[in-house]
Amino acid sequence: MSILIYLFSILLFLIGLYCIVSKENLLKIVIGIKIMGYGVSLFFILLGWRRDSSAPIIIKDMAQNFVDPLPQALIPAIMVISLAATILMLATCVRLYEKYGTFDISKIKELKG
Amino acid sequence: MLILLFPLLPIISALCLIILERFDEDSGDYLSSATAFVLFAMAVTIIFTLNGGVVVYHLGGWGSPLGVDLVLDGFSALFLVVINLVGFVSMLYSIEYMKKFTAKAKFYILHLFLIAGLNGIVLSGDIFNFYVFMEIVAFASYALIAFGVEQLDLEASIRYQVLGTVGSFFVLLGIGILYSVTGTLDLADMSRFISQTGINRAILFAVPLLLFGFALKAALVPFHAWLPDAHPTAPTPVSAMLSGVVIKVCSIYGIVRIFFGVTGVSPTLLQILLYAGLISIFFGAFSALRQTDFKRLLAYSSISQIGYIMLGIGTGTPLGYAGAMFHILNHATFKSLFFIVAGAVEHSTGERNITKLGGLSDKMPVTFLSSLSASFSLGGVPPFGGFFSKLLIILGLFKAGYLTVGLLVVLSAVFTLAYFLKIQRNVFLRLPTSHFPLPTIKEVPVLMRVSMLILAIICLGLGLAFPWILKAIVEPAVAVLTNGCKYGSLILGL
Repeated sequence: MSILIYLFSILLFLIGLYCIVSKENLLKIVIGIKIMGYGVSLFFILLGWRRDSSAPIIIKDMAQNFVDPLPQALIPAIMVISLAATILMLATCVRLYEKYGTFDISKIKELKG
Repeated sequence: MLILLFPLLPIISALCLIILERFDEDSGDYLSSATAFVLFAMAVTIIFTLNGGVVVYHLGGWGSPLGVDLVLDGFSALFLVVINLVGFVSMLYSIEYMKKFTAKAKFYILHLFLIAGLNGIVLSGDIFNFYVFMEIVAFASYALIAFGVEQLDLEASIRYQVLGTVGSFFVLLGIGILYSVTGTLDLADMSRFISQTGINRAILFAVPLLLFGFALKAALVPFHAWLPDAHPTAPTPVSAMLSGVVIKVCSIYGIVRIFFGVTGVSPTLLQILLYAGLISIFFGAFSALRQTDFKRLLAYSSISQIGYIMLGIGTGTPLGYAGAMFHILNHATFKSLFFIVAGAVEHSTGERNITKLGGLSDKMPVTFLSSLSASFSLGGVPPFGGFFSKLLIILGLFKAGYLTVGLLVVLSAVFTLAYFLKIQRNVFLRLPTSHFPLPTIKEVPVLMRVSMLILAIICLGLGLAFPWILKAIVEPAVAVLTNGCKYGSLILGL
């Protein structure tokens, strides 16, 4: 049962991947990449999660069940990276729209694959 | 302490450049070349002083499993030399080449961040830092590919961005699973944990995810679609960096460090690498034969040559590893040289289509000689470096018992010969087509000639100094591969 919650984050990852490979609109592809990023972030958060545990703050003379703080520390880094990726991608999309007048990738193919 | 400078120095000089460019647009010329030269000198010093040892630097004085550390061993040293050599030559070349672009200083800033990220990847002893540096490299290269902001640049960049980000997320997911099993992010600690407890199913799930991510970054054949667009459309110095260094560092370094050092390699994984490499060799060579765009041909050739390196690693024998390691060095020099030769031809003639060129051997002698040196190394003509690395890979294949594959690799040399002869004939040797303005063409400026000659001499030197190179650079790197999972206890013992 406990594995199910991890599978949901993988499912989110796969939904994002499906969006990237099946959509033809560049903005939708960017959204797909964001969804993939959320899937990975959620997976990292879940790695630190434990049932019935508290925030990782040590209180004297009190045995406590902590969540793992390390993945929580990694999440800001992942968020910043995925934010930067989105900004760069959207900036490129804007420039592409200026050149081609469309977001449809089936019409943006000057290069021969 | 010295090794901290490898990622730090380019970042510092990039940040200085952000301020300096407001006062003097050309300040980047000298600052970035000087930085790259200092880094190259440091990398050469490391080769002479390391002697197969390992250096660990703990950031902030925190010990190994808790803190973040930088690790320098033989394998990292090989990559440091490659990165900083190509980085230096590419910087030197940019001084003249980038004059036709606006916002030259921004180019240097991005390029310095690219070098910083590459140095960071090969030095990080922490798997999450490895990922972060990989993203720095990725962003710098996305932006550099789109630097011209023309239709083609943007299109190539967006393709690379989508595929590269997908690859990064797969690597990140793999890293997450490795963390969940081992409870640590330190590569050495992780390696020790896995060698003590053995492989479990979660790690078996993480390995294909990482392999998928790295294969996307390496442009192994089913995942190659972005490379022939991205590498040729970038400005030439960046093409040299991307084809010569970035695809190797982001993928081969990761494959060797994580699979050989941490999770351990299984025979299945080696076979996958071997056959993926073989398919890449033939696909790249055949596609290269059909191309008419000079730089696009070279990009397909990169796919083919990366195949050789994967094949060498896939043999699983020390001889094959040595061939692969030496081919990393050779490919970095001759492919970067070839790209900057293509850039020089484009700079002088304004033409990249090789069917329209011709007769440049008299007009551009230095470019012609450099391209000969690169071609001989690419085609594996003795005594150039490429001959020895391909020989070692083929011997490694025979020794591992892959007779058919070995013979196919020998056969592939013929196709390689075919496409480099096509370049030489079409660009330099034959008489040009009638409407080609041959008499007005001049040789490229001095700094571009110097940077070409540096690499041309190194291409030849790698072959002539082969026994010494093998002992000083390649053998320590091979030792890292053959030690495999002892990596963890070796690093933690320091």
